[in-house]
Amino acid sequence: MKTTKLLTTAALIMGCAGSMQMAFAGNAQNTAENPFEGNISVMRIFAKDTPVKTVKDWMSKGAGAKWEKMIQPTVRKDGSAPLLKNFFATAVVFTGARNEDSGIAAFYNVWQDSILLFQMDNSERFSAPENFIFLPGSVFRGEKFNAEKPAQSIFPANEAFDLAIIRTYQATKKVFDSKFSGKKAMPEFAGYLKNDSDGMFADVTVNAYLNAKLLAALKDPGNTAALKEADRFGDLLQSGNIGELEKVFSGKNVKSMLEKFTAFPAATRESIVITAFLKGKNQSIYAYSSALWPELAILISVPKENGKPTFLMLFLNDKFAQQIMNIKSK
Amino acid sequence: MKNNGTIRFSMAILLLCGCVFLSTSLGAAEKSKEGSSSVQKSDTATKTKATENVISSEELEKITTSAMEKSGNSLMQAGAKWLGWVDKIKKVNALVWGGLQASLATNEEEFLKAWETAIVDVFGDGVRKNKWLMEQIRKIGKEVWEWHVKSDKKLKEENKKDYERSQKFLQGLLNLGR
Repeated sequence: MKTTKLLTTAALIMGCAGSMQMAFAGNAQNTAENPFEGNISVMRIFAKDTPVKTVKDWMSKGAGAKWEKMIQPTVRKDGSAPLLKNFFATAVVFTGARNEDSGIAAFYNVWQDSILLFQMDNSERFSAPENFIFLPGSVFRGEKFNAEKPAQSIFPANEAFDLAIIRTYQATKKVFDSKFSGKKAMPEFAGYLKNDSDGMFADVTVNAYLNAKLLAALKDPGNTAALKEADRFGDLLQSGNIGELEKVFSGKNVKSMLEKFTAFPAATRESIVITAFLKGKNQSIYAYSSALWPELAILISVPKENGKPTFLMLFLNDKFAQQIMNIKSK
Repeated sequence: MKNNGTIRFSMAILLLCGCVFLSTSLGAAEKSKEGSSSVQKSDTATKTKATENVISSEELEKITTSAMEKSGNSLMQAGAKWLGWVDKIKKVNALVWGGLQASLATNEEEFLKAWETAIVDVFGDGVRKNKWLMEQIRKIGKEVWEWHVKSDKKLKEENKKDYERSQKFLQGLLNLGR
């Protein structure tokens, strides 16, 4: 949470600026070359708007009925489910082992630290989830869920937020890859299914609630200035040109970082949404991600005393996460 | 001679790669500039605010209240698991949220405000009508603030009894809320 830590990390990130572009290119390529992942990504895009219906219709009859019943307590009278919408809006896709008949995949939202793990039935013309389990990230990683000690990526009590995000993402991805890349994928999935589905979803909701509660502070009557800032940053990220961004943001190598950021496709930037708001003693942090490309994370740190906001760009993918963790461990 | 030829050939390839890279980068930069300005022109019509997904505290309260009501129904059918959910939400509100705000507070006033909000979150606005209870809540809040802010061991030792008493009282309040 300290500015110095953020700045140090920003400098380290810029040290591997070339790799960032490679990571981005690599990711885009993966989706294009992997229709399995591509289809799931498209489904997420629909689910972020209408999670209740889209996911139910997408799943097999049995799984859809289980989904509808399980999420029911969080669905509003008008049929909307804002906590679930936020989950799908910025969840990244993980894909594991697959064959003609079956495959394992997941949606993971690091900001809520929850994972929707599912088994796809590939034997039909349109592959669809046949079974699923929605888990808090902690349970998925083999840790204990504790509502009173939220994941570091929801509220970083012990470390800088940027590192907390990367570390939590990487720890989750590592578990996913180790369990679901090989032949043991199906037995591993069956193991997770032994968890009480409704009970796990209750814990997932607690995580979503906590993330939403921290964000809700922006709409509290006493926080109008913070909401204004969040909107101003949001506008700049969505459509500001490099000159406008440079005027507002500082940070080590910020120019180079902003050049890369503004080179992203317009649609990626237009779909940027706020994902976290943390008000600390010395600074406030506004976090954003793209609903179209959730691997992109932007952290803006505003010092309490006078000073320009700091801009930090992170990528939620293996290459980037490994580089950051390697640099930090040296 | 053969080596010179190889070097020249390698240099030419490198130069060519450099030119391709440069033109691609410049092209990308141009496109990005164009992209930015075109987005700017059109954004007023199509753009949604980046904070549109933020759920207000009031709305969040409605969602959780409704979830608790619904869970009350499923409680009849599915046993006690949703009771745990209600309990966790309360804990999140009262302890985690209160605790988080407390740890973020920069002064006593800020802390006490977060502290009161956390308690009222659990019991509802009715608590504010009970002057005695509010006084007790504030008193305990002040003690907890002292405890957090004064970190040296000696002071902690001196305040230990008061702190334990405060914790017992708070626990009592939470038990009442269940």
